[in-house]
Amino acid sequence: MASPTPLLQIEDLRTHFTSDGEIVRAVDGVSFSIGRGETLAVVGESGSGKSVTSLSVMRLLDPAAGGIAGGRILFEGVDLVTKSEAEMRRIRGNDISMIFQEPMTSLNPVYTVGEQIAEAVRIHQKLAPKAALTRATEMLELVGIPEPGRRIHSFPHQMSGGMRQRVMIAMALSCNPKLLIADEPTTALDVTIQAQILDLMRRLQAEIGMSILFITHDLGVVAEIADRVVVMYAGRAVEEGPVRDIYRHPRMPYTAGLMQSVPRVDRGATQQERLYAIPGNIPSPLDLPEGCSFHPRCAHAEPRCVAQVPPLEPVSDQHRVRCVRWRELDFSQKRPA
Amino acid sequence: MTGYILRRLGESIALILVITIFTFALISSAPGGPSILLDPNMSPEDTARLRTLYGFDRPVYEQYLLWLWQVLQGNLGFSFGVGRPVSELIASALPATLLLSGAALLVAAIIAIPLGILAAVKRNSWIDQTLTTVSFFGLSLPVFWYGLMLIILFAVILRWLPAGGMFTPGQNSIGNLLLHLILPVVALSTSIMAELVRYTRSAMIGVLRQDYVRTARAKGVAEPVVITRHAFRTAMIPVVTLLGMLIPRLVGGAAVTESVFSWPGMGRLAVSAAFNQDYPTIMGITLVISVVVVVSNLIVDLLYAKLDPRVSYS
Repeated sequence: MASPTPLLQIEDLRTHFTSDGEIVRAVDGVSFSIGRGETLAVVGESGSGKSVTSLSVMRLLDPAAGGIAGGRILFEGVDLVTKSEAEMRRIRGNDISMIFQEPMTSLNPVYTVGEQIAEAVRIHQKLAPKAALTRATEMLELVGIPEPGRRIHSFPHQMSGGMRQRVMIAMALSCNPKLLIADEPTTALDVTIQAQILDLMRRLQAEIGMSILFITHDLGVVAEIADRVVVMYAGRAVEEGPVRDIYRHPRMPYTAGLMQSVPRVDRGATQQERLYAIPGNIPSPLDLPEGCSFHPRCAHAEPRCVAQVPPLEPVSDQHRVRCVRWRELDFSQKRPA
Repeated sequence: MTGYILRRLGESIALILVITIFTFALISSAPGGPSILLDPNMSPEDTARLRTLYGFDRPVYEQYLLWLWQVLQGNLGFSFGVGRPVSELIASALPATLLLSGAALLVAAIIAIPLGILAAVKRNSWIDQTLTTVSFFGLSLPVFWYGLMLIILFAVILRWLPAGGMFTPGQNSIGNLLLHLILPVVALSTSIMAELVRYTRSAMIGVLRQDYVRTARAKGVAEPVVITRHAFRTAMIPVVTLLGMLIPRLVGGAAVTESVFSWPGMGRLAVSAAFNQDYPTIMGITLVISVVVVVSNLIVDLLYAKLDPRVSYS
């Protein structure tokens, strides 16, 4: 539930890259907000612009490749787009921190995990090296790593993927951030480890009270962790709403397609049908279709879908959809209670 | 670790033995024979007596074993040319070579590694382009020509620096030595500098793309610290490997530089020994340079384990 003053409010964000002289609109006018203590999931296929959105918030885009071309990113009411690099450094790892998809490569191989956690603490909380290492030990304990006093001296290659992702979480949370951006944090992990990491994130959110921006392509994970969902397609938000609304009453054919492509025990077992896959591929950002970007793959496309980019329209108080036909289409899922 | 070092030392000894056997065979099959027997003023009887005295009438393998037996007792033999013990010649030449190649390596590393980092951080900028061009230029300069040009410019025309040697006769100060060191070091370090810039640049570009560099930035680490502490610290691992491979080239390859600058080192000694068919000196130099190269490689390998915690020797 969005609180009256959102922690993070993204307004009409446009992030563009230049590729061979052509402008790639990786994020093309995205708006959403996250309340305090809330978990918002941004869902989409690769190339939908979800990771670029999160890197834009952190202002970690490679300046040689491109950058934020427009819009505002309000964090506690202050626009991050206009912040200097030095000001952003004080925010990164401190007020907003981030964990990534690849725990195997996200930690520096030549430093112990303790040193890597302690570094963030030293930078932002100005603790002495020894106190910072103590803090690192506490953080390892918090994320459920056994024998934290010994493990702070381990190198990343001495740990499993799940352990390393716990270390990443410990590092990200070591300065008590207000917002944690998790970019596909469970994608590279085994299913059982995935569940453990999601459990851990939920528990820590309850303890620390941070907000989470959860980037994923996996709708199964979304149901586990998120309060609200933004579905992205080809650089735009196409549907947004509380998890329950999106799952039970998706309005956008793309969302409905994503929903159908999630394996479900209660369906597959009885109907013996193949798992649904949305036909075609996400369009190249260099060559976006006219109008609704999804229309070439949409079974319900009509001529008016091509005429113009549909506006994001409110379905209910919190549910919004970008589809000209949302009033006519019904994709309600009948889920056993 | 101790086990590893012992094993490596054993391998090194075997390697050095093979090198000496190979060199001995090469020298023995070279036309002309040892210079000591070529004196036109000697009578055939004296030549025959010398031949027996030095054992040249025995089979080559026996000569080698004799040489090896003496070496094991610490005797490298007498030089044919100068009539002094080989060990003495080497003892005076080796420090000069180590000084020259060590200084060249140090200068190259101090200048080239930061330039390589700069080129990687500013890749595709005009700085990077310029460094690339200059590097290729430096890489393709032949040392004998480049050394002579340096002498012509700085010693002959400008008269800023001495043209060669280690000391001005009568002046044995460190300052005088350093003055003599400048041109040969510039000549010797230029080509390896070019290589080091290119190598550091590519190692750094590879590391700067790594996820953990992004993690460091996401923690709020300042960019100069990201580049040095997080990126260069891992990029250093391949760079150190290259430095290790450069040592043999420096010690062995200093021959041309030493000849051009009349630097009284191993390279110059080796060149004159080869011209004089001075068997014991050639063998002595080969042995000592092999030991230097093998030991420096071992040190680099041990350093490697220190730099990269993922590497462990057992």
